[in-house]
Amino acid sequence: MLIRSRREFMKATLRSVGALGALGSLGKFGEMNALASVSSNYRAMVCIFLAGGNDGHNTVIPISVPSLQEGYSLYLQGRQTLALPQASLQTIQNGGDTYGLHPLMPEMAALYNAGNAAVVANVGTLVKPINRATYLVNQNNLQDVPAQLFSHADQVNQWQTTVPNGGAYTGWGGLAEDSLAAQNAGAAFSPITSTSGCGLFCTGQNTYASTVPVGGASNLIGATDKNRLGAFQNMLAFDNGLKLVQAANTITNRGVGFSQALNAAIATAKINTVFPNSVLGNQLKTVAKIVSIQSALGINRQVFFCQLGGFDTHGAQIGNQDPLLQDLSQSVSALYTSLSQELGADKDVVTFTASEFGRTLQPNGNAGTDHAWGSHHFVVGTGVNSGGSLRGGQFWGQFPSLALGGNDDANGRGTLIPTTSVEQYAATLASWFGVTAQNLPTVVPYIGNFPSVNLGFLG
Amino acid sequence: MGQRPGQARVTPRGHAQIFSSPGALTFFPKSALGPEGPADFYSARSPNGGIVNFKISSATLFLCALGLHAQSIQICPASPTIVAGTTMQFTATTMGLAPGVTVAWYANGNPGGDPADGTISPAGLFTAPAVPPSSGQTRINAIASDNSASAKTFAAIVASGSDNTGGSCGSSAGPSNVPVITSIAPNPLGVGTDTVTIMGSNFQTGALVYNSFGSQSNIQYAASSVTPNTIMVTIYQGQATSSTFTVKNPGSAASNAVTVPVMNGASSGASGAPVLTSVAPNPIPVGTVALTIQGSGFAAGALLYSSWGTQSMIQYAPSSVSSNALTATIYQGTAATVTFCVKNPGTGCSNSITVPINSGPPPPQSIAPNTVSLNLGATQQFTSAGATAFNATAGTITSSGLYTAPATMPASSNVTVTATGPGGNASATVTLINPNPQIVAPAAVTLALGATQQFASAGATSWAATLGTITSAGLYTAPSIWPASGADTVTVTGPNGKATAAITLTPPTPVITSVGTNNALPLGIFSATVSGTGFTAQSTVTLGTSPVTATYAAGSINIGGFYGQSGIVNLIVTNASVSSQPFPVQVGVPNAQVSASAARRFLQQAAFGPTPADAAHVQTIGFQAWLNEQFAMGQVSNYNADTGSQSGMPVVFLTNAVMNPDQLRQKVALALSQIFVTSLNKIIWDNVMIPYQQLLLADAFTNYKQILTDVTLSPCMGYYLDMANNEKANPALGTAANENYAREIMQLMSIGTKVLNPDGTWPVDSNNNPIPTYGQADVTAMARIFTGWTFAASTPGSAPIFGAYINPSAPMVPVSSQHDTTAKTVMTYSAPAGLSAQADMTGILGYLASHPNTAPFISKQLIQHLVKSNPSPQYVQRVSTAFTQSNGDMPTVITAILLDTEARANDAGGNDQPTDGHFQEPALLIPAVVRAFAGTMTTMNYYPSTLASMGQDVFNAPSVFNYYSPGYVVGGTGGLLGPEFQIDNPNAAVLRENFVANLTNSYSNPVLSYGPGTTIDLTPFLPLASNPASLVNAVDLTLTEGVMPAGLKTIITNAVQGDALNGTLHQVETAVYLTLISNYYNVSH
Repeated sequence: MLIRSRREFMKATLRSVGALGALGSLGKFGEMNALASVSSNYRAMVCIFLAGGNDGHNTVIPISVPSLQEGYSLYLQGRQTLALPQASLQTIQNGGDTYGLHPLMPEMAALYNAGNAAVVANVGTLVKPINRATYLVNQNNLQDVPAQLFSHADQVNQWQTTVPNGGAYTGWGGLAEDSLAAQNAGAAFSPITSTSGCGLFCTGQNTYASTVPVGGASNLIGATDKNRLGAFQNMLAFDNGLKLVQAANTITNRGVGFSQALNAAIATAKINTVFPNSVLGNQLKTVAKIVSIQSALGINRQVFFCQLGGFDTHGAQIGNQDPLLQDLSQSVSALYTSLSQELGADKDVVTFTASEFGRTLQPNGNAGTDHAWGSHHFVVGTGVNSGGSLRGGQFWGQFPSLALGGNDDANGRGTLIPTTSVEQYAATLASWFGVTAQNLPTVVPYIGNFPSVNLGFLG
Repeated sequence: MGQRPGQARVTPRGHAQIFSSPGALTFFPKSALGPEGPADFYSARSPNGGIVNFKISSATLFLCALGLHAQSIQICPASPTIVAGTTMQFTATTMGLAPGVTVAWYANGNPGGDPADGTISPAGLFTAPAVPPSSGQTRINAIASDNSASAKTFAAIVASGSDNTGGSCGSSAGPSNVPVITSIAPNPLGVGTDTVTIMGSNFQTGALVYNSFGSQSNIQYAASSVTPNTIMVTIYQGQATSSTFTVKNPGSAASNAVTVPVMNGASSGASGAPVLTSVAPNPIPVGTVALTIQGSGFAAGALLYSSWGTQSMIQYAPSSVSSNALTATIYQGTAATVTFCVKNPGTGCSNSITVPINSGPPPPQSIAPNTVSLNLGATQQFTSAGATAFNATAGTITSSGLYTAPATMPASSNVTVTATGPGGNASATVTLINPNPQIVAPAAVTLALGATQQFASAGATSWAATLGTITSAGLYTAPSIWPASGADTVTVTGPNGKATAAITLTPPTPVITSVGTNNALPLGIFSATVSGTGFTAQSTVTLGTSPVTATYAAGSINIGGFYGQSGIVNLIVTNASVSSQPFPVQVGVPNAQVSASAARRFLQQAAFGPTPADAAHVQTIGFQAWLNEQFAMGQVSNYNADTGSQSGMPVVFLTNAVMNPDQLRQKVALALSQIFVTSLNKIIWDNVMIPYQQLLLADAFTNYKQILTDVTLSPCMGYYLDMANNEKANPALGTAANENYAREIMQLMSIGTKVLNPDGTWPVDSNNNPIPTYGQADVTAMARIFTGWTFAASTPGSAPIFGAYINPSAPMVPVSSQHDTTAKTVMTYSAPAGLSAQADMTGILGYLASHPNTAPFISKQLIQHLVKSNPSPQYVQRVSTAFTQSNGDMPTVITAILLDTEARANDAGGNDQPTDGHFQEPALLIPAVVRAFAGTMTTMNYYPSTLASMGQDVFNAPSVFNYYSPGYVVGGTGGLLGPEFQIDNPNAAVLRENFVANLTNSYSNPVLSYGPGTTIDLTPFLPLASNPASLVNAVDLTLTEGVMPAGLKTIITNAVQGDALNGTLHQVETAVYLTLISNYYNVSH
């Protein structure tokens, strides 16, 4: 059938998606044509996880902050040899306050200044709102303070689950998809796609990540004939009573099903926007490609998880962090360009950063910084002044004082006590994504501990 | 801003101006347009009075129709649909361009286009891209070289499966020259050739006539004469249907079409149809024939028509015509009759004459008798109707068919007699009989190899034997080697010809004297030499009831195959009907300490999987003795010796794991490298990572505290986690001690983050939360303990320089000036002020090594790496106790892990607990597959990238948190741990199948290799393919310890059966492939 119009294509796609049947039954996946088209009922979140704990202190720098009666000099005092020169910063305004982004983030500054990016200040894992006095007294009490603060693995899980005391095996990306399953009914592909490994963020009760490495999903090559494929299917259904065997079978089944569904649809997808040929750039280009075949995949609520590592800058931070932030800025900008100029999906897709923790303001003797707590994050999407949902061009949350040993410092090294919780950050994004107020506590279990459920930066 | 010609602007009051070369246009707002103005269009008048219509979108004006001398371009075709990979010609119609101005073509805004959106030549030939662009269309621009005008259209690019549309363009403007037909004469037309007059108007010189009838469409004819109102043309009509005419002037479109009927014999208006009287020959033979037709009224140009069978009115031009006779050469197929008529030019058909067609060729030649036996010299008369010649392959035959047999027997006793006649050739067979044959005695005899036999034959002149030897006196000696046929032939020649005697040779009786070494075969796949006597190249061998491959070589037989049951089994060699005495062979290990399954399962845990030889060795000496052997064995695996560069380390790791005997050491070192993690992603020097991995291999059988100390002081770890050059807090610089190693040594390498019970479980507080082992203050204090260390001076003996560059060849050294000597308290450990860097180090490492958390924390991780992901608390406690009691002695701990009752519980299979098993990480999977087949691997192997793609880029973990976490919980299992599952994402699972597919697909060669560095040999499995169940049993013992569940065996056996058409090798590959991709295999248990 020759499809001449997008409308015809949509109708054809709906028919083929409807014919796909249950996921995981091999050999039932039909051929699907792919044309770039994004349905009007589409929303996606792109999580960029800055693995290792990004140093927010050198990402968003106060220059002149009358509202705090602070500024660059206090930053310089705490940062010492790691301070970025004031003149090099990419200046941005938040009302009457002047801040600078890292010198290698002009693209992010441009997005911010156009109202298409916002800064959410001092976000971190919290059990409930806490101040310095309470923290210093109760820092080992998990009723007040998250478990294993400053530990990579634990804080990664807490950011991805929004559960501050461990013990969660599902994450808020997966749970959000669980609650919106009806939007993706009949999809042949997982609504969560990771371009690298994904942790708990991608795991829901019923939702599991598909992994699409840069370069595309792999096709099964050894069981292509009916005989072997049939035996393979039977083996995947064979239960010898071991739970780990069953778990591996489930993953294998998903892998085969996902690759069949994706590769049928993605064959002719093409992104013309130039992305940086970088760790994150290539991942975000893959994201754009999958967004472009959203309707072919039959997914209306889609989550992406991308990861940029190397932020654990205990030594030689300047040389190590600079190229990473440049990659972040350039790649996020390229994604926004592709979504807005090429795919017409910029109002449907929100990109945000996450990272297990911030770093100490005070350096260590290796020209690096150590594990800390709260940090600043970016949310990118089309601003309300351009018809989008993002209240961009401004800061959300409370920018902290950088006084060592001050009210926002947990230990005297400039370890920021978060003033906005991961729960609030996630709940705001999830609400925009479509999670109902009723379902929000399922997706973000501790949200009830915080006074405001929605920070307001979206919608 | 000034405007150039061709630009337009909209005035503030809604008027617009066009700037064109003749002068500005006057613009009318839409309301000023008359009713003739197109909807949504605006009009303007040029100075010369022409009207131009515009459509206005924002400030852009599109020129829509032309009536003036403004510059403009139109693209044709507009908005076509083009199939990907095909071409379409675009043309640009220009108006008013300045002299010398040309048009350039753009696709997607690029001059000449681009590969992704299509390319377009300077002449406008567009080649669509091979794949439609993501937008589904390409913008085509034609732009004047002086930019005075441009045009664009969008071409939809579609995938294959359709046709281009929109490709034809209307003719250019100008006075119409399309002709008009008003009538055709004659009407109706007759079948055949007619001269037709077409009347109408606007006919021009060079006009062509197009005629269609039946299935013939638009046959083109040149007119014989053309006037503006008349065309004469001679045409041919093949059948009585109807006929349609159109006319085209040069360059014009076609005229209207006029259709007239065509009738058989219809008069065209001219009189004088001829009359036929006779046809010769009559009847007419089949085939090509020269024909003469008699009659009257034949005119020059007359044509002959014949019809026969389903052929109707075939037209022939006569070779000669006179008024009363006509000759022609025609062709007749086979049919009963043929009908003729003749037409003069411009007339209908004559009367018809029908004549019969001859019944066909003469019947085939025959000869009698067909077969006959004749004595030598005898005669026989052959007859064959109409025969013109006789021939014989031996003897003689007369032209009348009298055959005389030869006097002596020719080479062949069968003679062929051939008769040739009107019906072709016929042949008969004569069997010659010697009335007095040569006779040999005995005519048949049975002889042993090498035996002699006297033959006799009257008057014999020569003797010959095919295999044996025979004297001129007829004394035959049988061959000494058993021939494949088991028989010989003696031929004697004498006065009455030849005679033969058949000799049946008695095969030798095989006698087996030994099999392999010690008359023993390994369990499973084997190969061995059988020695003895009486073996032949045709000998077959059975072991028990199983056939084995047998290759005869120099008096011995090399055997190979698979035998799955241990014990005493009889080997039998058979020559045809004669078999050896059964020869008892020991299969597998005699008096085995442990079963074949148990040994294989043990090696899955303690080694990189079993090889057949290693499994037999474990069976022979038992678990404990094997462990002792391994502990006593020096370090064999060596990265220094093999690795030219750091990037080669994963290659060497895999090769060592497959080939080297220090299996347990390597296995433990791999586990240690995932607890004490350093990574090539930060350790970028080839001479730094190699000593670190050597250290872990060397320390694998020391004790925990030794490992912790060596790791802490290693330059590799010092650089990786920043303990090297960690200076004490510097108030002047505003710095503090680096916390990196301080935190991770506690969190990952010793005690973990929560207080543990000795069984690995953890107590909880009143709120059901685990109790933290340490807090941030402990980390800060620990960081101070680790201050003051730097890399050793590059010249041994020189004083260390704080901040030194990395020296990989010596442990780190203290620099007292940079050590924080204030008092420190870490958990329950207190260091008084004034301790040296070394004393602080020794103190804290001792504290960590003996911390109550360390034994369960480290023990459980080692269990997870070697045995199972979810050990019971009791198992952890038993190992933890061994750890504590031995002060972390690694051989003691390893022995406790591997010989624990829980580790050994499923040694016989079938005793799995639902929580058992651990997913084989890629670094275990790849060596295990190769080892199972006793395969080989060299440093040419291709697998490091496979490891990386599956998430385990060996020695290049993403962070100190390893490729995966020991606490990773597997979804859908009710909370079971499965560390290795953290990297088994869906895509990695597909890659795992593809690794197996790559290794197990050789297509034609049973020696499988993926790349030059890895081979496994499936040859011994090939004979088993004829019995799929037996094949699967062999694969089961090889890969799944011989305890594969029956249900899984059935699935694989059925697939092997279903694969029969693909050949035995593919069947074997299917069995191996399916077993290896089963998660029953992938989850070691």
